[in-house]
Amino acid sequence: MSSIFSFSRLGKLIIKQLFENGRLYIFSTLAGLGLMALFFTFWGVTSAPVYNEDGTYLVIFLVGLFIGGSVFASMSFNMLGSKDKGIYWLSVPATHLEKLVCTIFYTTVVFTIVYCLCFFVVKSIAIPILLEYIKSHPGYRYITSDWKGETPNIFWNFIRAYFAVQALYILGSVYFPRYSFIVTTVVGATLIFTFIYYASQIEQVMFKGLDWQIVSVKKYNEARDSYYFYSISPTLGNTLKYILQYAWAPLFWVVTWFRLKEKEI
Amino acid sequence: MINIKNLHFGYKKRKVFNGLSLSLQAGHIYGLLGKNGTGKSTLLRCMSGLLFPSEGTVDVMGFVPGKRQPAFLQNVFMVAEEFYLPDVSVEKFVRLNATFYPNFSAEQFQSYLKEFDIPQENTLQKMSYGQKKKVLISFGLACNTPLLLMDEPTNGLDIMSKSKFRKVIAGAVNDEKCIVISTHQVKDLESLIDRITIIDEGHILFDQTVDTINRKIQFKISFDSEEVRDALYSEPSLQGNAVVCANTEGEDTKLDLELLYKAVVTNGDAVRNAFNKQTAEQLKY
Repeated sequence: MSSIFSFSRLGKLIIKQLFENGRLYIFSTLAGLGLMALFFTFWGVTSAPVYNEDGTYLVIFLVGLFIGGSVFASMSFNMLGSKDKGIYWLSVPATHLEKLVCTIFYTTVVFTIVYCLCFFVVKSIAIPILLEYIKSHPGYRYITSDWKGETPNIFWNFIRAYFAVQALYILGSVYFPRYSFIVTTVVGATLIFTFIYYASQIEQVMFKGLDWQIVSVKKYNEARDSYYFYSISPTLGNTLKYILQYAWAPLFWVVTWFRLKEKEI
Repeated sequence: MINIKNLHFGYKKRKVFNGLSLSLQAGHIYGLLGKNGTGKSTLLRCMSGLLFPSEGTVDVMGFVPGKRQPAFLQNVFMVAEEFYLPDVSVEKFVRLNATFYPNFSAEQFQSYLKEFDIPQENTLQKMSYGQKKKVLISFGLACNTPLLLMDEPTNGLDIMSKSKFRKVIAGAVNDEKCIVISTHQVKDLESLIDRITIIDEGHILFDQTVDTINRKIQFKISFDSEEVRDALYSEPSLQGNAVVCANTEGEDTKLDLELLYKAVVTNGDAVRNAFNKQTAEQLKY
């Protein structure tokens, strides 16, 4: 078997994790269903008399996905915070990469699928009940989502951000074995606000009076009543945009892998 | 099998090893003794790849333990003092974990469970600490890894289980296997260990085989005040004075690990001189 990656060993790890944590996963799924039902009930009570389906997707689905996904991800490597569990986990004859992929499988892939299933199961029960209720209440109406315009863009941008945020919390669970969710949130927020602050300072110095986008700058030429337009090449611009959208999760996963290799108990 | 050279290791505020060197071979059961906090568990963790030396090298069967490669991990099993077992049945635990150890023997595992008299109806988390430990010891032995590390293995075991433990370990050792046991419970493992290594202040204070110890050192009860005064170590006991002295007459006495440990720790130079002096005299003749 390969000393770097073996699908056979990965399969064994996945089965091992499933059976060892099966009870936790089942109860978490039931809790997820319960919370989802609660959120839909709250939405049903507070959104009257106009029920907009966008509210279920953009509010209930995305907010729940972010919070639930982050909390679940922050528990990924909490076993490394205790000696006995850490020894048990590190001593399993598998590579760090296989252990990481197994964790990502459950935290990112399985969690997202189960969450979506919970959401659609509860929604498929809640909406017919709501429609029945609306029939007996004149003036109440239900507006279905219009997946044209900006809604799909917003939705998929949030999904991309979700995977990045979840990968950050997985990384945080390795760096901060105790109170991982809280510490990662504080550190992440600090880094983001620090970046925003320094970006705004740089903007004051370099782009004052200019109209700029991420990859281009426009400068008004009063004499000619026209604009100077500076931009990096479209290929480079598109590549940068693609990296900014999709590279965060893989970057955090790679850093997590290196951190796992350095972990000592 | 294990070669440790110039090992330096420390935690944030405390240096544990200062250039420790040690060599362990297959076919032996090593007893690792030392005061509390002297680094016995740390040494076992360095051997198993759970800790990385800050300086020096640790070579275990040609592997660098810190890399934690699967080929290395499947040849080492550690029964830690603080251990974890998932909340599954014994049978499920074996099905999930034995698959990672190519030399695992289900028949051996069952025979150890029978020897230790472990009930298999409960899940692992519902068992007592002693029962869980016996399951882990049985599993570790049944994995048939060339290197088996045990940190205080008899802690939590009842008297009968300690006796069964000795029987099981004695039966498990072979020419290809090396067992390293770190312990304070020297009385439990006196008859089992064939090489004693004592660590103190980050160095090896004493490292000899039991055969050599028995040839060079005597352990007896004495009422002779001169003998007590000249002993390497002595302490009053219910039957008289328990003494440790040089075995100048080639007498065969029963090894007392506790007395030996006390002698080495309190009068290490004299003990070492007793070994070296006799070697020099033997060379002279």
